[in-house]
Amino acid sequence: MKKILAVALSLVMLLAVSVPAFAVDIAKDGGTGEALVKTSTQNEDGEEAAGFTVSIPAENIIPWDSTETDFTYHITSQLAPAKAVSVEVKDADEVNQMTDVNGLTLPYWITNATATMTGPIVTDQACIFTINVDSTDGWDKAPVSEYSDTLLFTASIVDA
Amino acid sequence: MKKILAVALALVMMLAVCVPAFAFGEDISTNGGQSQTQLQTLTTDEEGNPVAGFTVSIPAAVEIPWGGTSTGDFLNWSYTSKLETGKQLSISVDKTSGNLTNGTDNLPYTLTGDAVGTAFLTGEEVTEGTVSKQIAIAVTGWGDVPVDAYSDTVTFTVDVVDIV
Amino acid sequence: MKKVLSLVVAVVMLCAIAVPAFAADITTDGGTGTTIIKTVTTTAGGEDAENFTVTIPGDTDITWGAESTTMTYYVESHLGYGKQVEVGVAGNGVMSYVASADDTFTLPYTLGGETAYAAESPVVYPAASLDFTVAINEEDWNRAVVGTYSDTLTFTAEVVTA
Repeated sequence: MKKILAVALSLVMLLAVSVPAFAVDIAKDGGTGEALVKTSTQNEDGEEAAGFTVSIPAENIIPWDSTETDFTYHITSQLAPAKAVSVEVKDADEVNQMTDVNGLTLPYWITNATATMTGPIVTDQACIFTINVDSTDGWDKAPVSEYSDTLLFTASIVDA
Repeated sequence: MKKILAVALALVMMLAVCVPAFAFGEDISTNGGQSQTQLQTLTTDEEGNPVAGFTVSIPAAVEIPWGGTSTGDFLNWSYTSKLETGKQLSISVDKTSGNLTNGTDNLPYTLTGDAVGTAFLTGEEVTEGTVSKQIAIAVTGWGDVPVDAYSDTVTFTVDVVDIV
Repeated sequence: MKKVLSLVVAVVMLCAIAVPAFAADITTDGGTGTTIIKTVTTTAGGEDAENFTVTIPGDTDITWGAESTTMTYYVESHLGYGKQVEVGVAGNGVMSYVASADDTFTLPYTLGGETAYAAESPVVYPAASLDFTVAINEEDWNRAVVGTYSDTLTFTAEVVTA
């Protein structure tokens, strides 16, 4: 008896996993039937279709003496309803100093550091962040050199 | 006397049972003589139920992957029929195009194939097995709406009509 | 054909230079990517960022009989690592008064103070204020024919490696 029940249970579970929607049969003169056409949120490869891309540049050049320099990155997204991409830019080590090969430093700060889209559908939206270097306390006091730093971009999906 | 009556009664009963055999046709009583009798089917089965009928099978749901299928998306349906002489099925759907919707946004789609726009006539009373059909579903505007579950209903109507 | 190929190669190379390379694409919720910010040593106008300025006094009047007259010059520099500006002030040591075609009188002087300046770093900012003196002794004043004596002081600035 137990074996029979076990086999039966297995069959039921197998059917539960594998059975697609059953057909609707119309067998009456003048009869009607409905077929529901619906989309999946996965593409034909089984991957979730909702997604986004934040394209960030490899390098951002700041001319000497430039107190405000704008840089651009791009956002493309197609998300679920009422969702949006939000991007934050900050100094990777949060010291806000560029350094050169000799260890000399050049302080800076970032403005327009956060960009949040207004909806789920965005196509190649250009977003700007600004690197600010003070004229007196920054450029004028720094030996002329190539200073650099690494910025960290973090992208997340938030409620629109 | 009793025995005679019993035999006579038996004979009468036998004749009563055999009577249908004597209800049709003519007696052949001459050498080489001929007579005819007619064979005929009923349109009901041995329980008396009408045997003429059909089945049009449509899917309860058709799921389209986001972005569509590269080889196309289809609503597969089929039919079998065993109808009376001079009858055929007329099968139609209620739309040629529409919008899949999530209640807020829409994905437009068009349908092409038999039964779309013009009713499909099967052209025969009896099908040889099950006949499979396809309606192509073309959805557009995938990139214009949020990723969500969008849906619409396609209604099939089946009528039995005369073969013209 | 060669000219056409050259043009095509030139265009391809130009395109290769002009297209900015993108560092990374972030595609996941909470995903991160990095980019580099970097200064260059040229300004937005394309000028070399390294520069210095030595601001020297204009014509200076020395009051008759003044034994010491102070003059000031200024030095500001924005140079690269390991460089410094050096400034020197020099004159002929004698001012001259041309009284006539045949008569020229002289008045000796000496320069003192900061007639030689060497910056201690590549950046001198704000500008350094440097004083030097023109000294004429009393005896020379007393011996001099009264007139207008003059000389030219030369300021020399150069960038040296520290």
